[in-house]
Amino acid sequence: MDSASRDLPFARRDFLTRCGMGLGVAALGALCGEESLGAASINPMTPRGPHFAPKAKRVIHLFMNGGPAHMDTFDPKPELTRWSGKALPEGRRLATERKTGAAFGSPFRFNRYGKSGLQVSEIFPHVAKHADELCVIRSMKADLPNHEPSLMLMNCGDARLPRPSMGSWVTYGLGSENANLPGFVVLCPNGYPITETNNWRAAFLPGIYQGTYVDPTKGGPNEVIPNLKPARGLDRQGRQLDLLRSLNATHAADRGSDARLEARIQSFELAYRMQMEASDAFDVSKEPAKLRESYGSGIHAKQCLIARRLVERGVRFVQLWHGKDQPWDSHDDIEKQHRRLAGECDQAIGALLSDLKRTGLLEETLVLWGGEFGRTPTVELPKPGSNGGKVNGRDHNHHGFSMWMAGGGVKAGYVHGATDEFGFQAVENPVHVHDLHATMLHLLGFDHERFTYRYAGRDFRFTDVHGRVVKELLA
Amino acid sequence: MGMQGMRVAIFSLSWMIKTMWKVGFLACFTCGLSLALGQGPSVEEAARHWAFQSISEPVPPLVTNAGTSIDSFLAAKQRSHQLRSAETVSSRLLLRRLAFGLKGLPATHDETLAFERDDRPDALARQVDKMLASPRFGERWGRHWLDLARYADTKGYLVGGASRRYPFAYSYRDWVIGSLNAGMPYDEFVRKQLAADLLRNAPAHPDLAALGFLTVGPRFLNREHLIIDDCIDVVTRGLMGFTVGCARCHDHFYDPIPQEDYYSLYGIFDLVKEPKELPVISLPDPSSPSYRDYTSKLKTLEKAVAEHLRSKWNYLRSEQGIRAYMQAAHDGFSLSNDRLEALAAKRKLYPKLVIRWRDFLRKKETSDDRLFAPWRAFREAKPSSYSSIVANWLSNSREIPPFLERELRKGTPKDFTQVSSWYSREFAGALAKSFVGQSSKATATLVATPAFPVSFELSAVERYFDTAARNKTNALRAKVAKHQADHPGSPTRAMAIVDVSTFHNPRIFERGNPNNRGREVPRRFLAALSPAGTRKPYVNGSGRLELADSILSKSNPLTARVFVNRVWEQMIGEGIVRTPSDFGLRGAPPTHPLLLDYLASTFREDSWDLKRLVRRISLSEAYRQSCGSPPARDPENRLLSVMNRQRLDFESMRDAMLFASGEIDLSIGGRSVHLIKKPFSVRRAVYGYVDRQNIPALLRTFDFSNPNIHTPARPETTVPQQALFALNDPFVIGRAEALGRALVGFAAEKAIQALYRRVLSRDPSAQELATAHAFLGGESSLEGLADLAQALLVSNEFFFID
Repeated sequence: MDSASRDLPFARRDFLTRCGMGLGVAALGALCGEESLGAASINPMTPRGPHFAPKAKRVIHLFMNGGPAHMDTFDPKPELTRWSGKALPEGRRLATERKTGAAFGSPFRFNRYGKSGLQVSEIFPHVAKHADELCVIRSMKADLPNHEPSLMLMNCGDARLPRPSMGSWVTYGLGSENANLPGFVVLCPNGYPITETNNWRAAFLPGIYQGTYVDPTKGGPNEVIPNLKPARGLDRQGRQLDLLRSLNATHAADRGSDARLEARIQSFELAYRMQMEASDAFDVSKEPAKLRESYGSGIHAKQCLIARRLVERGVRFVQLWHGKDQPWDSHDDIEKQHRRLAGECDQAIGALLSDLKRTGLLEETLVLWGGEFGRTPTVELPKPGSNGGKVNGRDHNHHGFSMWMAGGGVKAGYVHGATDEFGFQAVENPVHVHDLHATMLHLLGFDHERFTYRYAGRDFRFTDVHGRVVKELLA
Repeated sequence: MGMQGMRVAIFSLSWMIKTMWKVGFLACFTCGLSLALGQGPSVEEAARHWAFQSISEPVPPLVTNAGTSIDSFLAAKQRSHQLRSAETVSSRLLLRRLAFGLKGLPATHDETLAFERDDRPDALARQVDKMLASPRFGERWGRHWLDLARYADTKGYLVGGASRRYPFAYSYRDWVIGSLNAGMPYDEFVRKQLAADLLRNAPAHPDLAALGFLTVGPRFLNREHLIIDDCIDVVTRGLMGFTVGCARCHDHFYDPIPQEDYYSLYGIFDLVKEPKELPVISLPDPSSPSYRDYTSKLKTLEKAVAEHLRSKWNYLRSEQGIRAYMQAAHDGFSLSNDRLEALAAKRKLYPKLVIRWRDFLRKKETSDDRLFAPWRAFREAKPSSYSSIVANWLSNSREIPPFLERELRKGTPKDFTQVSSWYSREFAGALAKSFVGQSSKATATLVATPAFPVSFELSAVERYFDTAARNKTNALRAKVAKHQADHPGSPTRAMAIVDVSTFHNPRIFERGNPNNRGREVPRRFLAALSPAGTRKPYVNGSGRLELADSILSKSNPLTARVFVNRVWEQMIGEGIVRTPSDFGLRGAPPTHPLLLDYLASTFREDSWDLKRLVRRISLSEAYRQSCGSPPARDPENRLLSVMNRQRLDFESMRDAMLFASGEIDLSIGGRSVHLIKKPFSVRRAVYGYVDRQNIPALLRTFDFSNPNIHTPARPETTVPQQALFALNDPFVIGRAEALGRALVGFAAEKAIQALYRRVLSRDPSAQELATAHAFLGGESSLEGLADLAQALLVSNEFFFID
C-alpha cells in the first residue's frame, strides 16, 4: 500500500467494519442502508449469497391469520377429550385474552398418516397426505394473547416497535432471483389482515424490500405491478426504446464509465421484459386444466397456484394470508368455523405441496404454515362485544400452539416438542417465535446473530437479542 | 490485536458485563456484539470524540490557486494526496445543477442562453441570488426538511373507524416552506418548531404551525410512550445526529448517553398535550361563500356528534334509562362481572355502566342508607310478602323517603320492577331538577355526588360506551375531520401542542418497560452536551423552550455541525460526515473536519442563515467542478476531486416533467393534493398527500423518504419498476402528449428543436437531429412527437444532474 492511500480518510477495511454487515463483501456496497456510502446505485434486488450454503432458497408462508386451534388441527389431545366439560385441575387453566371455562375436547377426529404415523385432524385430509413431508412443531410459544402484537411478533420479530418484516429481511439478505418480479409478494384475498401493511413493512430497511401486496381476487396481473401493461403496442414501444438506447448511449459516451448510468439503461431492458414475464406469473390460466383441478376451486386454489408460479420464477418470499381481517379467530362455533376454514384451504395447500414436490421445488422451498398463536383447550365464556355468547369457541392462546414447515431442509415426518396433556402450554422443547425465526434464517443460510442492519447507530437483527436455532428441526 | 485494542476490549467487556448486570441480561445484546469484538470506545475515547469538541474557527489553509475558503480546505487535502479538483463544468450544466439544487426545477433554455452569454464576473452570484429569492427555494429545501421531520398527512394504523387523517398537517408543511423562503434564521426555525407556543402569548399566531415538527409523527395506536419516543428520536437524531433513542432500555453502548438522559427528555414531552381544539391560524374572509358553506356544513356534522353523545347521555339519565340499568343491576346482583357484562350486552346496555350501578347499589345496601333501605327490603323479599312490608313500614311510621311514602300510600307495589321504577323516576327527576319541591333534598344531594353512577358530565359519557357506540362516535368524528380536511373553506389550523398545567419529573422505565418505573430524574439536557457545571434542571413548564435553548446553545457543537453537513450533502451529493444522523462514536468520522467546522462556525456567525450557507457552497469551485469518475486512489470520492453526479429525486423528476410540458402550477401552499390518482395534480410534488400507512408503490419505487421513522437520507435504488413508470405511466404519457400536441404540424426539424429546448434546455446536435428526424419519419404527427418527447423525458440526460 502506498503512503498516499494509507492515510486516505477511510480505508476499505474501515468501511467494512463500520458497515457492520455480516454479509459477503460483494454485497456490502449496496447493503449498508442508512450509512450507505454512495454505492447503493446497483439494483438492490441482485441475488446475493448468505453466510453459508443455504438449504432453502425461498419461502412460502401460509398465514392462518386469526389463530387456528392446535388441538383441532395438528396436536391431538385425547386427555382433553376425557376432561371435556369439566374444569381443568387447579392452576392448569392459564390466563389468555378472555375468560375461558371448562375443558373443551376437540370436536374433530384425528387419524394417523404416512410412514411417520403423524396424527392430523380430519379437517386437513389433503395436507395429511403429506404427513411424511411435514415437520410439525407442537411447542410454539409467543408472548401475548392479542392479535396485533402477536402478528407483529410473528412477522417482524417485535410486538410493538416498528421493525422490518421477515420477508423484507430475507429479500434484503438474499435479493431476488428474478429481476422482473418483486422479491417479496404478499397475497391476501379481499383486503388486508389486521395491522394491515405493517405485516410486510420494510421499516428502516430500504422501501424496495417491503412486501408487494396483491389481492388475488382482483387477479389481473396488471394490478399487481404498477405500469406493467405496455402503454402502447410492443412494436411502437420497441422503436421508442431503440431511440432511448441511442440517446442514452450518446449521453454516456461523453461521461466515462458510471455504473449508475449503466444501471438505469439496464433497468429499461429489464422493464421491457418484465411486461411479459410478470403478467405471465400471475396468470394461472396458463397451467394445465388437470393441475388446476388438483388445487380445487376458490380463491385459495388460485393463490396457492400463483405462489408456486412465483417461487418457480425466483421470487424470494411469498406470504399467503387466509383472508382479510382475522378469519381463523373462532371465538364461537369452533366446529363449524374451523371446518369451513380448513375446507377453504386444505386441498389447495395439499396440491401446492404435491406440485412443489413434483417440480423439485420443494427441496429448496421452505413452506411455513401457522397462525400468530393457537387457541385455548378451554371453552371461551360469553363476553359481550367480543363473542356471540355461544360457549362453543376457543380464546387465543400464546402459551402453546402448533406450526409446521415442509421442504427447504427441515426434518420431514417429524414432530417436535409437545404441549401439556390438555394442550394449554408448550412444556416439552418449547420453540419461541424468535427461535423459529432463527431457525428459518439458518435454513436460508444466515447466522441470525450476524445478520444485521445498521440503523440509528445500532446493529439491528431480525431476532433482536433473542432466538436460538432449533437444530432438531434440521434435516 | 495491539495493546490498545486489547485494553479497549477488556474495558468494553467489563463495561458490558456491568451494564448487562444492571439491565438484567435482557438489554439489546446486538449492541454489545461488536463491543466484544473490540470496537467499543472507552470513556476517555468518548470524551475525546471529535463531534463532542467545541466548534473551532479554523483559518483556511494557504493553498495557491484555490478559489474560496471552502476550496482551500479541500485543496489542502487533495494536494497531500496528489489530487486536484476537476475542470469547471460548462455554464449550461452549472445552471442546470444550480436550478435543480436550489429550486428543484430545471433552468429554461432561454435562461441557459442568457447565463452562457453573461460574462460579468458576478454572473453566477447573480443567478444564485435570484434563485435564493425565488419561492421555489423554500419548496425545494422545505421538502428536505420534511424528510427529516417524517412528514405525513395521516397518523398511521388506527382501529375502530377512527379518522387517520391529519387534516392540518399541511399547515406545518407550509410553515416550513414559508419560513425558509423568508430567510428565517435556523436557530429561530428550530426554536419555533419545539416551542412556538411558549415564545409569545398569541393563541392564533401563524408560528404555532411550526409545532407540527413534534406532532406530525406516527401515532402508534395512540401509545403515549411510543409517540414520545418518536419525538425524542426526531429531535435528537434529526437536529443533533445523536442517537438518544438507543438509551431507552439501557445506557447507550457506544455513545455517552446514560439511560437517565433519555428519560430527562421523556419527561419534557410527557408534559405536553394537544389542545382540545387546534388553533385557527388564518381565518378566511367570513363572508366568502366557501367559508359560509364550510361553517354551515361543519355545524351540521358537529351537531351530529354532539347529538349522538347527548342522546346517549340523556338516555342514561332518563327515567327509562335508569330503570333499565337498575333493573339489570338487580337481575345480575350477585353475578360475576363477566356474566353481568354478558347480561348487559344482551339488553344492549353498556356493560361498564351496569357494573357501576350494581356496585353502587351493593354499597348503598350495606351502608345502611335510609334512601335504600326500602329498596333492599323489597329486593330481598318475595312480592307476596310486599304487603306486610308496606304495612309494617307505614304503621311503624318509620322514616321512609317521601317519594316512596307517597307511592306506598297509594298501594302495595305489585313487583320489584315497580319499586325500581319509582326510584328511577325520583333519580331522573332529581337529575333533571324538574321535580323541584317534590324530590327530597337527600335525593338531590345523592345524584350530585361523584359516586352516583350517572352523575358524570356529558363529556365523560364516552368512557362508558360499548364498542358499537364508540364506533359510531368515531365514524361521526371522522366525518368532521374529513370535512375540515377537504373543504376549501376550512380555516387553517396549527397542529399545536400546549404544556399541561401541573408538572412533575419523569421516572426511568426499567428496561424500557413503562410498567416498571425506576428512579426519578430531572428534566434537563443531555450530559454529554452540557459543559461541566452548567447542567441545570429545566424549571419553566415542560422545559421545551429550555430544551430548544440547550440544543441551540453555543456550547452544543452538534446542532450546527449536523445541519451544515446536511446542507453540504444536498448540494454536493455526499456529506462531509457520511452518516448524517449519527455523529456518535459509531458514525463515520468527517472527511474534512476543519471544513466542517469552518462551515459550522461561519453559519453561526451569519446568524444561522441557510441562504448564505447555500450561497457560500454554490460559489465554491468544488461545487462548480465537472462530474466524472473518482480517481482510483479515492474510489469513494472522499476528497471531492470531481463533482458527484446526482439524480433527480421523485419530486424533482415529476416537477421537471410538468415544467417541461408547460403544465406546472406554481401556486404555493394549501391542502395536500393527490399525485398518483387521475386526474393528476399539476402542482409541485411537495404539496402531495402522504399517507404513511399506505405509501403508494410509486413513491416507494422512487426511494421516497419513509415517513414512519426519521430517515437520515433517502436510499438510491435503480429498479425496473422505475423504468416501467417511465415507459407506461399515464402521468408520463400525458406530459409527453402535451409536449407533442403543441408541435403537431410544425416542420419536423423545428419540432425536434423545440422538444430538445423544452425538455433538455438545449439544441440538438446535428447527429441527434438526424436520429430524431429518422424516428419521426420526417413527419410531425402527434404519435411520433409524443414518443420522441417521452424518450427525452425519461432519458438519462433528463434524470441525472451533471
